Amino acid sequence: MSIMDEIEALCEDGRLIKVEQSYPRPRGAEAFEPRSLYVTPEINEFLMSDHSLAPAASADFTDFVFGEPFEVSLHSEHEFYCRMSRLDEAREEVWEMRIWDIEPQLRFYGRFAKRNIFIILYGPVEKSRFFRRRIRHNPIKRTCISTWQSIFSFDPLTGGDEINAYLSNVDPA
Amino acid sequence: MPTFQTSILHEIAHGKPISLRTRLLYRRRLQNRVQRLLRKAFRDEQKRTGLTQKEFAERIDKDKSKVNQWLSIASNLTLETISDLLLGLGVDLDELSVTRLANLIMQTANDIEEEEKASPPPPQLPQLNPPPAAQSASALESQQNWNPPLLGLGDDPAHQVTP
Repeated sequence: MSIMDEIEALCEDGRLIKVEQSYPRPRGAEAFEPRSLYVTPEINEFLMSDHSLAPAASADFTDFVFGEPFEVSLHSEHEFYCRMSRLDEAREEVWEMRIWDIEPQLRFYGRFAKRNIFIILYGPVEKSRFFRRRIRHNPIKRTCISTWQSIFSFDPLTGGDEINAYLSNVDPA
Repeated sequence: MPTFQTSILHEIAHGKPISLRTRLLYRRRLQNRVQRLLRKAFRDEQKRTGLTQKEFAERIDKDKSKVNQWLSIASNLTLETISDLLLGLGVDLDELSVTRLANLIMQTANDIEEEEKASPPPPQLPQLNPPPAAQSASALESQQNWNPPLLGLGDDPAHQVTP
């Protein structure tokens, strides 16, 4: 069974949900290579909720799906203004998606199944500007890895230090 | 057509009150689009003249880290800031035109319908992996019942208050 077959079967079973675009693609964005984003039912529930921060996450996820350009960091310790960052250790292949400019900011965590196909397994985690809290990544990584292993028979994508191996239309932060 | 888009179309096309959720979504959408416009303009100028973010920031008397933020992530920029950024890049907006959202949403719905018609039926359920050996039955159960930390995270182990 191929990777996509497994993902589609999990979607059919309700264990993963494909994030659909929340608004129409803007003119001019047709040229971008589309991406796919999948979330757990709990995360989808948040996205569909009336929570005041959900629309910002839905919008950023929609732009991800459209293949819009954004900036990525391969090193989590760099608190660059980027939309995605790979957590250390790199070999664990757990990535953070950052929803900026809301209070609190949100973070989601997941792994790449293939190039341009990202599976979000944990979140949202809040990150406040006003209360200095550091997110402890180790328990998050453990959850992501064990959840991944319990639903997939394949390993996540390993792209090394080549950002374009993970995503189209992105630049290093 | 996705349910959410259907409800937005209903609000827009039928002159209904626009919900706060839809307004928040579209505010963010516009912020993202403005950020990408500025980012592209900066990249083009960088390619053309070798402009750095530091030089750009100095040129418009802004802090470099703020400029970096505005070029990298969605921000709720004021019209004054957008004007300064465009001016600093030596560019102007071609035009300010509008398009009918209802038409765009209908087009999107048609595209999705076409894609769905073209896609094959879903496969059978996969044989799922057994849980990792080190994982106990209770850990697996709690994982299956796992709920994400939906905000209000004071007791979340993923958080640590820094001194």
